[in-house]
Amino acid sequence: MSEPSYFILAALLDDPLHGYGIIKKTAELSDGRIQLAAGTLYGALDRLAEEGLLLADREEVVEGRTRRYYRLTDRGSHALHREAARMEQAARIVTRRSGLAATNPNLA
Amino acid sequence: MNGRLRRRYERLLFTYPSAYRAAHGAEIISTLLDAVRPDQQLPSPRETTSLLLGGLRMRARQAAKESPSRMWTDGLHLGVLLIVLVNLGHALEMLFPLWIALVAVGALAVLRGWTRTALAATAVAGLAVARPLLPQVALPWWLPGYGDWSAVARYAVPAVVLAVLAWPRVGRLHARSWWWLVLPAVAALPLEGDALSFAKAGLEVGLLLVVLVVVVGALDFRPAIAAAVYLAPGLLYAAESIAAGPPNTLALSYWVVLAALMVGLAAAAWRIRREQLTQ
Repeated sequence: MSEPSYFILAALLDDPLHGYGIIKKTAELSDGRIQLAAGTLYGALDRLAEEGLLLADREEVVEGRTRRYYRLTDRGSHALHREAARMEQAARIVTRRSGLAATNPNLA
Repeated sequence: MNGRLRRRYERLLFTYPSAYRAAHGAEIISTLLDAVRPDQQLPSPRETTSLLLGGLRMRARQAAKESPSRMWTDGLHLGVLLIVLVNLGHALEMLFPLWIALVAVGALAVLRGWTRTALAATAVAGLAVARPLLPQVALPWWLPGYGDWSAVARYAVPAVVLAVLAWPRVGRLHARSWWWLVLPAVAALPLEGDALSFAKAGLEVGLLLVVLVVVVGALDFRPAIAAAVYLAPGLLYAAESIAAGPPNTLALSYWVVLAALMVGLAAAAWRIRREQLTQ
């Protein structure tokens, strides 16, 4: 799973969000590292919807602006948790070693 | 302010497939407008690039879902359409009403995807154009007199391709937009001279470059097939001119550029299809 896809799914963990809501939330979750442009966001949304990881929840028009909300599916939630566990395990290989290095100066 | 910026963003959605634009265009524009600065007048370079590439990628994903036979059918159809529309433009310049009607029927049939009618009309036109080259046959009163094989090729190439497309196992052709009729209208403009030839050559090279970008960006090789079909009669014309005498350097370089672009397109199309098949 690509990093933008991971953060988009993570942004939808709590509540359904519309396009701009997802852009703001992914920026917030990644400490500003991921700034999604609209073309990238909608390409990812289309792909993730096709894979059944999220779906369009509802649509509303506010002050002439169409907002479609997206929500995570059960499959999307499983995929996200699986990916998080995989990254955690991958990170542990390194962090465990750095932890050892921190306690044992000979390994540094 | 937002009205103008909205229209500018809407125009940037042109690279997206029309069905996707109809379903998601309003939503994407809203998201873009939500993200603008209060004093912003122009689409940001970052959003512009993202939209142009996003549209091409969306087309690529759709193209990858099409079957190879559908891609070939669409590409060949588009190539034939380009030739017959330019033929119609040239026919309109002549004062032979029956000839214009025959070419127009062929062009219209190609545009609407009526393969058999298109084949019949284009084949008859091709035979008619070939007649002056057969000295034993008198030229009928309703035909213009063409005296070279490249003119015959402009009808023979589409007729051969249409014969392939008329094969029962080939899928039906999609009807194309009426906007294509702008092409013969432009081709028939009563302009003459070197400046126009340069403009036409520049336009062709420019369009081929656009096709190359689309083929590489959208991983869609249909425009490459169409360009190859469209250029086939022209390359025959170049061969005929070279055979007739020492070629004009400018004309020769023009054909070398076109041929090089075609080779580039073919290479790009080949790579794309191989990648799609191994995915």
